[in-house]
Amino acid sequence: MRFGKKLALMIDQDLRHGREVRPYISHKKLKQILSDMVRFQKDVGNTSADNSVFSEFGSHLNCDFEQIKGYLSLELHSLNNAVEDTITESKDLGISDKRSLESLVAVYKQVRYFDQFVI
Amino acid sequence: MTPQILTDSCPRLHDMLNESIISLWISSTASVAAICDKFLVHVETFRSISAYVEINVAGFRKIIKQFHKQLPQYVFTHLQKLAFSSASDSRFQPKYTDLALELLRTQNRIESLRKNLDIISQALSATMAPLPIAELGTETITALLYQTDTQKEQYPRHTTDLIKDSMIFFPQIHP
Repeated sequence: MRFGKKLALMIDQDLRHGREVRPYISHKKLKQILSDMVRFQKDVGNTSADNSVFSEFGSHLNCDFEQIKGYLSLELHSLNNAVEDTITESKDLGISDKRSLESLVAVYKQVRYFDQFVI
Repeated sequence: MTPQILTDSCPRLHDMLNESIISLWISSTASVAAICDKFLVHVETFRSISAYVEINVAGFRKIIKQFHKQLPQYVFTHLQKLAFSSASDSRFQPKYTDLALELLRTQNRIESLRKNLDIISQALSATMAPLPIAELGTETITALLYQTDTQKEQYPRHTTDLIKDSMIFFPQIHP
């Protein structure tokens, strides 16, 4: 699947799940800045690396990174906490219920063992 | 205990034990099923986060490719220096590694939860559950746990691949 279509699908999913659209690398905007940069290079006839020309591209990319990072940190933090809680819950369940079941089954087996002596 | 006492007491004892085992089995299976529901929600959230990371890494790759195509005189490190104040800037390096590692940590925790549930479900199967309960219980849970294994193919991609991809942000990899 093409990147654009995949991204559109993902944004659509965000909306359908009723959540705010998550931050993404703003591909369209960066492409636009890139085209402006190329046009500028052609106009001034400059082919050397000039930092100032590219600062808009760089700062826009950096801003996107920061937003994505902020969003991901929050999401991962909240997921990790939720997983941790469920792990604790499963451990508690594993210890208490498994032991009770095992002891009950042990008694049950003993009774079944005595059954054979009953006439 | 004489045979006579056993004969008298066994039917009642059997009934009582059967009832206790069945009731404990039902409550255990219900609790495991409830935890499995939570587990499924976690797996779905993790998948959604993985897909989100993947699309952003793809977006980054695409724009960098475009950049190189249109401005071939610029090397990648030069772009990095523009995007971040400096490639050796202490802010730069942890930008994606900490997230990639956090993603891996989350996956490991989910896997550990899956293993826990697997062990409990196996323990429940091993306790000679009454047949109707066994049918509704552990088989479904085991199948469900297998389906949601985070290492399986239904993931957009393995986390390790995502981590490798996120390495494109490192100046050491692309000098």
